[in-house]
Amino acid sequence: MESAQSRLPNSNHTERELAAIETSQRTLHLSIEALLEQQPSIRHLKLRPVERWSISTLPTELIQEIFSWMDPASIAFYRLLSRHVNAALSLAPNESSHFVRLCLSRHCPKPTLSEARSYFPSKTDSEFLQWPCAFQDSYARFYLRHLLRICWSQQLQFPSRLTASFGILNQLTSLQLCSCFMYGPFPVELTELTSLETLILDDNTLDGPLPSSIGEMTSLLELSVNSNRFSGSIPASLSLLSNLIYLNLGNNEFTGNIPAQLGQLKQLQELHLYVNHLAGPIPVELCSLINLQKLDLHDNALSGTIPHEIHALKKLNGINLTCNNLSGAIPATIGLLPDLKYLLADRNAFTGRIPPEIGQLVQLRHLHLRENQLSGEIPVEIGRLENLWGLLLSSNRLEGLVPAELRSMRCIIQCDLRNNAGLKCDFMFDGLEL
Amino acid sequence: MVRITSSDSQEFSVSQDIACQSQLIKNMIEDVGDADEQPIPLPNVAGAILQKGGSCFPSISNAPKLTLFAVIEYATMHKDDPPSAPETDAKPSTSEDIEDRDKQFLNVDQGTLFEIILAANYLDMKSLLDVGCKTVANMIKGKTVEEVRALFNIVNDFTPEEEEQIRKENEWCEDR
Repeated sequence: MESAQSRLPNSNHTERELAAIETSQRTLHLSIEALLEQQPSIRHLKLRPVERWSISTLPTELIQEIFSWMDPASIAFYRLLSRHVNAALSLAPNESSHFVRLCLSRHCPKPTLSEARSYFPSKTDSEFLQWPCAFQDSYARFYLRHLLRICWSQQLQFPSRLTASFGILNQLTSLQLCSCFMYGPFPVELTELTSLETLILDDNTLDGPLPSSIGEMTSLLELSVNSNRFSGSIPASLSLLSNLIYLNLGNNEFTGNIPAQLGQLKQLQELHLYVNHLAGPIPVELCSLINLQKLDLHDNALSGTIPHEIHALKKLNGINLTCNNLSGAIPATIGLLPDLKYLLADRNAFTGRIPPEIGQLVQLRHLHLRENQLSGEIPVEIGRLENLWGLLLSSNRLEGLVPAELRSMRCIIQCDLRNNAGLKCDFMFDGLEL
Repeated sequence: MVRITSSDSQEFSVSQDIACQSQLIKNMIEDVGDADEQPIPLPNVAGAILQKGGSCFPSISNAPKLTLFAVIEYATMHKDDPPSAPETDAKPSTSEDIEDRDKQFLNVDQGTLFEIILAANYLDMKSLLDVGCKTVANMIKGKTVEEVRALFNIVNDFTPEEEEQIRKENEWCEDR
């Protein structure tokens, strides 16, 4: 700003009589004596202190008015300007301040009540996850509260934390955020969503443990956190989710044992714990999951045997135990699973004979037992499995004559019997590898 | 016509439709009634001595506008605006939405800009307050804290500990 000195008329010029000088808004760089000497006509000289308004001297409400026009994602940053500004922009979480509401009213249109937002997030829906948490809470409270479903899978573009603010939406029945670039922990606040029936967080980079309070989400029918980086042990409290039909914790970094309590999930139809670091046995309690259709435990470090009680899982149509340290004999009771379509148990340490009872599994399409230590002959009963597509028994210690019945199997596409030193075969057919 | 006086006892006569863009003045007139001929005092709005064309300093083109004068200028400019529509759901207003004539009007030094914002707040003139605050927000946007401090002569009065604390809180805020 120009100094007032340069604006004062020179006394040698035409304007010889200065009637008044307003100083309230300008800095006057001039000695009073010099002024009076130059301008003898001055009768009154009111010199008020210079009040130069700046952001840091404005009243709090005006600082808030100004910053309410800024992008919420950048506001917290400007708290560092000065104490006064910081006090005006204080963004304590969980506090629905006047400022936050003002700011939201600038940035967010009134929420449309349309159901479409459940599936297609609005512009601010996709932005709010980048905002400070005080904004997220208010946003959830005022703009998302009416939604019963948030199914924004693959609709969010920017990496963000899985906000605890979703925990406010206690009417929510479905929260689906697959492939949404979410990182960070599973907020314990989410477990307050006791009406939630579906929680799907697949394919993000969420980490840390699952909170044990997850057992309070008792309405859950479907829980899937597949392909994240969750670690720690599987909370035994999951057993409290008595309505659960689908549980997928696959492709994470869970450690420890499979909690025996999971056997209490009487409604469970699918249990996917594959690709983790789980150790210890397959708990015999899992055999009380009488509605189980799919059991997928592949790529872990499980040891021990397949429980004999497995025959209780009458609805089972698929078991995948590939890549574990399971040992012992494959129980004959496995032949009592009438719906079983695939039995995948490559790369374990199973010993003993292949139970002839497998021949009772008339639905079986895939029998994969490669890279075990199975011995004895291939049971002729396997040759009666009319629906079998793949019979993979390579890299075992099988011996004797390959049953001729295999030749007459109608559907067989691949039959891999390689690397069984004692095995002899006196015929050939398409798909047979010896 | 309505007569109003500034804090330094300068009196203005303005038409009622202009004066009533100030919710404060409007309320005062409604309270006092037409019969009263007394000028309305505005003790919080300073500076009106240059209302006659700024004749003291005619050679200075960009002289700071004096507040009440400036506010009246704004109100006159906007007297034919349609009454502001209630906030529609369609599109939120952003700080980029400033009319050209308002941009020009607010192309003043910082001190004056803040005086106008203060006056607009005091006089309860929402549209002027908004446009003033948007203008300042636009000056801040995209700048670092240091740049904003330099721009507005803001002194960093935090202790290093306090500053660290806020940085932590911000991080925490982001991370929860």
